[in-house]
Amino acid sequence: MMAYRFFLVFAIGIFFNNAICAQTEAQIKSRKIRAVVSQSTELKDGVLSTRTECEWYDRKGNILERKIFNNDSICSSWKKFSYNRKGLIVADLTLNPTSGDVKSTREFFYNRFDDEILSTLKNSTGVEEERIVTSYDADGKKTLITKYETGEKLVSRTSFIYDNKGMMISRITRNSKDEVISEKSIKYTY
Amino acid sequence: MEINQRFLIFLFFSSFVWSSSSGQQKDFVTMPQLAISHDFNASVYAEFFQQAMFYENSSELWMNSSDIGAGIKLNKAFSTELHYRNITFKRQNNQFENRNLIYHTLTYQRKVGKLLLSIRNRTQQLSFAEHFNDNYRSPRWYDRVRLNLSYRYNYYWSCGANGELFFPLNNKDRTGLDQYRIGTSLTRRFNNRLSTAATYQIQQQVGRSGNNTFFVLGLQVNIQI
Repeated sequence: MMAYRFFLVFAIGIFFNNAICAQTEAQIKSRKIRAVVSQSTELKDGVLSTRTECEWYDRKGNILERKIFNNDSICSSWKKFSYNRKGLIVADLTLNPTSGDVKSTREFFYNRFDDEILSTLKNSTGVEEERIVTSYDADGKKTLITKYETGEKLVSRTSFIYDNKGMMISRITRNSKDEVISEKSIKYTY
Repeated sequence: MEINQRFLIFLFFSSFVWSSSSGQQKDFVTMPQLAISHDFNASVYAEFFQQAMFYENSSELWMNSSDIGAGIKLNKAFSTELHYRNITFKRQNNQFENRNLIYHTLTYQRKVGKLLLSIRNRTQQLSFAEHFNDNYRSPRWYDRVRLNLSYRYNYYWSCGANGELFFPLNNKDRTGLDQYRIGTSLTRRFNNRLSTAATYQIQQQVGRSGNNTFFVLGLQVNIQI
């Protein structure tokens, strides 16, 4: 009976591992995979659509480029990523799938403890469309995320509160008028 | 399960105490310590230690010290600290002597999964007070290198092993290594602000006329304010 249960759990485990996590970041890194091409087919409204996703990785397992092709093998999405020497993402470029021109650039900036403190989204002309500023406490825990639009216009502020064991107990998001637009509280039993 | 775990820990330390205290030519020392620290921000912090050491099989006060220091976390891997320590030390004539210690540390640490490796270099100057006394001695400089490896079992429990080498810098009688220490530690964290640690350390003097060995059992309370 025990062996049967073990086998069942094992089989379910393998199924989920293959079905959900076809390739994880760690798997790609450990196997030194340089490129992944995945094809998925879906029947939608009686039409069979195929989607092909191509990803290229560097030696450290960081994704460098992602292209998505639709049914007719036409590229519908194209992204490029770059990293610093610590392997932290520094830029994420969205390219025009046909011309290859840069549509938008998201840049990431870190403090000396490798925590992301700023990310900016710029359009093709270099105008900043979005700015996200993140603050941390002395323990390195995220305390505030502030989002701005073009021209430093405040969009939202998300604050985080932790208990004395470092677990998040509250997350509140306020809009530019300081109204609460989203709230989450968590209770733990130790 | 919880009781079994505690019993095993008690047994582990008891066996050390028994084995060390039964060798009378060597000494068993106990060391209670209170450490209070405060983070000003993510980089800068301050620390205060109060520490006492009891020798002669933990029957007499050997030394008592108060330590104050400040540290800077330079990045994720490196940190540096500067400390001042005032020590009241019992000499062989049973007289207590006042000593001052200033030391600087540079620590490198790297976390791999649940393992934390740290290497610390400590440069210290020990000066003997009463400058105008007949028994005045010039300050002693040391360079100490410590390697620590700790394993975090879960949020609450972690254990570690460490080794430290002492190199005298201005002692003409001792040019090379004159002491090494090896130790183990077991830490229980209650929350982000309070933890306790039990340590066991063998302090071995080498290259001296009388090489003493001390078996030091330490109990430490760490508070973050």
